[in-house]
Amino acid sequence: MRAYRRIRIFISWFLSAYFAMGLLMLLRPDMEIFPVFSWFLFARVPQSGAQFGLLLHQVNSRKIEPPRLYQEAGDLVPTAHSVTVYKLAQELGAAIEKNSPETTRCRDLLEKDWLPPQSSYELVKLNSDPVTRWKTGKYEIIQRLGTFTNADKPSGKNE
Amino acid sequence: MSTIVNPSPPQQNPKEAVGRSAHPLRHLLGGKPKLSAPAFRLQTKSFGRATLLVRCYYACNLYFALALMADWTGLLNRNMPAPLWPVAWLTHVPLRTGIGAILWLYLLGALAAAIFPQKRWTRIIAFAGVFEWVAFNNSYGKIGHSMHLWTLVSALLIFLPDLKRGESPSRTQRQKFLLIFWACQAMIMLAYSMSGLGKVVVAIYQGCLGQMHAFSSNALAEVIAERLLETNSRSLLGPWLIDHSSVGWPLLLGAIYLELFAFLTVFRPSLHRFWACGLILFHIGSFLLLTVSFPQNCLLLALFFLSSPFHRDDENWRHTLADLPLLGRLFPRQCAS
Repeated sequence: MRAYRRIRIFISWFLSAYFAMGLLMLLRPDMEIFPVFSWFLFARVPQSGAQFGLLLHQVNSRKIEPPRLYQEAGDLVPTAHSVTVYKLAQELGAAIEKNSPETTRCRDLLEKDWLPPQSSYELVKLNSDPVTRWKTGKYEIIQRLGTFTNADKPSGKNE
Repeated sequence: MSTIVNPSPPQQNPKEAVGRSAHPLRHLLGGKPKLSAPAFRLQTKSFGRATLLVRCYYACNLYFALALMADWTGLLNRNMPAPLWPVAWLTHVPLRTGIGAILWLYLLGALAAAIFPQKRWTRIIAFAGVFEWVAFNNSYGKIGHSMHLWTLVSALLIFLPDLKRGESPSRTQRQKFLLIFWACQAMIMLAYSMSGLGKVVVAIYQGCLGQMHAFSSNALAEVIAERLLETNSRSLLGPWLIDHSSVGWPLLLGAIYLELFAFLTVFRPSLHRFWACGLILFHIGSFLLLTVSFPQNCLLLALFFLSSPFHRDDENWRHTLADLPLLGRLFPRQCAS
């Protein structure tokens, strides 16, 4: 009986702790410490506003004219539809704006794992309303944060 | 003996039942307690089903590990990740050796637990394998969440009591087993409720800021458009719904209802199957609209709720409707059986 009660207490504690810690994760920029997560998925309804994008200028030493957004370059990069690249671009943009040391980590991940060798890309800030952009394809570049290259870095396979 | 798990409420007299149903919170959330069949007979039956489901869980775990073998060559050649804390040790060993160790641990742990699910040591190794693999796979810039619940359930199943071969488990052992099984169910639904809570809290926040929020009629169209633009992908029904945004309104409200009250349904066995169907349909909808798939979660819902060992065979749809959170008051129970 005592063991049974202990299990009951443990379960209550486990579930309560997961709930409380999950909510505390909201205070972190990445919102989780694996496997504790807030589970706030698709909670925010997107508004018109700024987000970051990767504008490809060169892939495999081949110049892209005019430059294209990463996710629109399905014929040039194998992972154009990857949501990871989108998230990394947002993290990199935020890190550059804050002049944070995270910039190096984000660049390393992007350039080693997600970009073909001898690539050059520009990080830009876009402004658009999601539904309008979906219907018209139009977006506005409001800021250019820098052009980078992964010429010296080996690339690996992902997804 | 007060060892009957929550899914099958112990017998109580009708006066007490009426008294409890008059509680303000119960009144708000709907549903009424009802008299149960003889508890020990139910316990034996539930235990038989639960042990079979745990075996099925570890069989599915083995399938995942085996399916991954086709990718082993590519995985062993991956670059050094930005490791999450459970695989931080990878930076101190040769990378290929470290990745190989994780893959073998995952495979052998899954195999051992599928053969001897009644042994705790196999369940510990199986958990370690899943935990390390999922942490490694999410160490490349973004954490995906499709295997989180699988990992957490695997952790909870470690605490199942060891059952000896050929011996009939005691009543207390059976009860402990069912309690841990119920904890797995609670963990699954807790995650959904946290997700629903997030949508409601953020909606209130965005509403206060005067922004479009989750209860707005065009909200789902905005969410779909942004998601499809993020990856420049096409979903089967997403573009249509962006053009007919008002259709998305009841769908999003329904999804929030299902998610928000998911945890409550763990305490109402009559809702287990109904809620699992709803959440699986929600995942199908998410894929058709957003290209977001959670097949592992659907499998968990099917194992732990569609086949719930606490669901009573004499349950009927009237009971189910009467137990619905908030809406249950609209469907009064015909009779307490």
